[in-house]
Amino acid sequence: MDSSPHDMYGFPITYQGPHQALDYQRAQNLYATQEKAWAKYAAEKRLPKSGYKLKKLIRSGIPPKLRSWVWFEVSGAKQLQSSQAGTAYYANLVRAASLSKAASQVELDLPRTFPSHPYLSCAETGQAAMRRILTSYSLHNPLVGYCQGLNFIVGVILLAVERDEERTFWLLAALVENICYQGSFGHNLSGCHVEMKTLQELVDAKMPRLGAHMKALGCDMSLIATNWFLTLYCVSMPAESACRVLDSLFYEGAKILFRVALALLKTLEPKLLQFDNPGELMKWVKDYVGGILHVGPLMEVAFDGIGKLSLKKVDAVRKDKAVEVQAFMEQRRQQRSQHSPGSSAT
Amino acid sequence: MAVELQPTESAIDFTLKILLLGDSGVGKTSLLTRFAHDNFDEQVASTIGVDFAVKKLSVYDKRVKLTVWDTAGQEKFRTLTTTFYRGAKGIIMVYDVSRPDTLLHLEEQWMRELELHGTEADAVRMVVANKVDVGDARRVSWHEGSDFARRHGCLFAETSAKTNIAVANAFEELVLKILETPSLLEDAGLRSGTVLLDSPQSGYGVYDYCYC
Repeated sequence: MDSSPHDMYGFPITYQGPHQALDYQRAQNLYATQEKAWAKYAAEKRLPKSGYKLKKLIRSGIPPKLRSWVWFEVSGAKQLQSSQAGTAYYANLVRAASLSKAASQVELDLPRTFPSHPYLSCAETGQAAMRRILTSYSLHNPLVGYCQGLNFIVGVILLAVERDEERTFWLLAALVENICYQGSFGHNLSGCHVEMKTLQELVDAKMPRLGAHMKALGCDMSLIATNWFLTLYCVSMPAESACRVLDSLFYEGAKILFRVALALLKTLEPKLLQFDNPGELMKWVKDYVGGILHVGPLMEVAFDGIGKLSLKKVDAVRKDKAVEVQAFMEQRRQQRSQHSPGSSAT
Repeated sequence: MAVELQPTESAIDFTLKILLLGDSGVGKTSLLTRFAHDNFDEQVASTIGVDFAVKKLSVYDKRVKLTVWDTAGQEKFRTLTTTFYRGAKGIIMVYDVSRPDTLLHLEEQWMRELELHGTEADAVRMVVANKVDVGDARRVSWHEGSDFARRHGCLFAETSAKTNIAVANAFEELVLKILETPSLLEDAGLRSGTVLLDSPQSGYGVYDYCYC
């Protein structure tokens, strides 16, 4: 028996006060409702035919026991796997893992990936599994290789799919290759830049007062939202809460990342307007999000409280921002070549 | 050193922005935690994006608020961190004494980033050799580190965030040097870093100080 309290995925929980214990209890109470709503589909091992029905069901939360199955079905991971004839693909990558150029960075990060989790911090089991998945993925997708942040995504998914390594690998592939904006994890994170600028523009449109306040403080959106988008909330929020985000992310796509970000900012806006220092604002947001043990109310705001947000709209903004980011990267490349060693530095 | 930690919340004379730079895993977050909270956690998670802490100090008769920024170290993150350089008065470049490549990268990578993105020409730079507690695993000597720092016009300190060697001293030395550099203090008073929302002359927002 464990002596300290932990959540259903084995992460230790520390309550910041009695309200948090209550919050966590509320989140636990929801699981019974979710299981009931899903019972029919779970028994027949099939998903609702109606896309609308499925979206509603998923938005209300997938029961943890069904996550492995539903995620694999709705994310495109299954198709990715079957496109690589046979199940030996992953096994072959694992065998070739020593060739990975990403190995040294992965090694640095393994002990720093959820170090308080008993399984994920165990060198022989959890860390070994994450090493195989991350190095294999770096070979499978050399354009991305390894990016800090993927380690946390892999950790949470691995636990949610009951430690099925190969399934975690394909779910990661679906996220990086199909669901997240292109280049989000690539060599210069240009896609992540685009997402940050896109979020900034959505905030300016939907919460102009907050947008102006943050701008006045010199608080760039990337200060608070980088880890949301690069870990898909897996390091930002407690795991059970992050899994609720992943539920809809797998089915509806990357606009869910924006919905959750906008919901957070909207919920926190009155408080954020009081900050007069960007670092303190950032730190406060980080601590707040890290303590969300009952994500239900936030998800309600994300789905119903931030107004319309179509993928079309998001894509239109992204297109504009991608041009800006490309220009920035080009300028940076030129500056760096001018400053190369040997040329006279200032 | 005439430094007293944790003065009261009363008026702050200067707010100084300090950056921690260096490769992944050299101990930037641990140095920050040791300095700001006098704490060391064996189980620190890798930093994705940025981290931040505030520390207030009294230096001689000045009350100083340090805002210390810690960034992700992986190479691909360098494009994201360019905005963090803005207005930094002190730069701490960290390497790990058991990994010589991390010192090499200070020269090849981090100093170049600083040249490109730093906005304060006179910002005080310090090279910090961290993890001196490693014993036999040390691969970079004190001489190599201090020569490197001198060659690049930087202060130098050897620290261990883990066993709490010289961490506070390093930060204090940096702050003293900043306070001796008048050009760095021109906008470090009430005007920057902290915008006093209720102060009558400041109104709202930093745009009030745009003189252009």
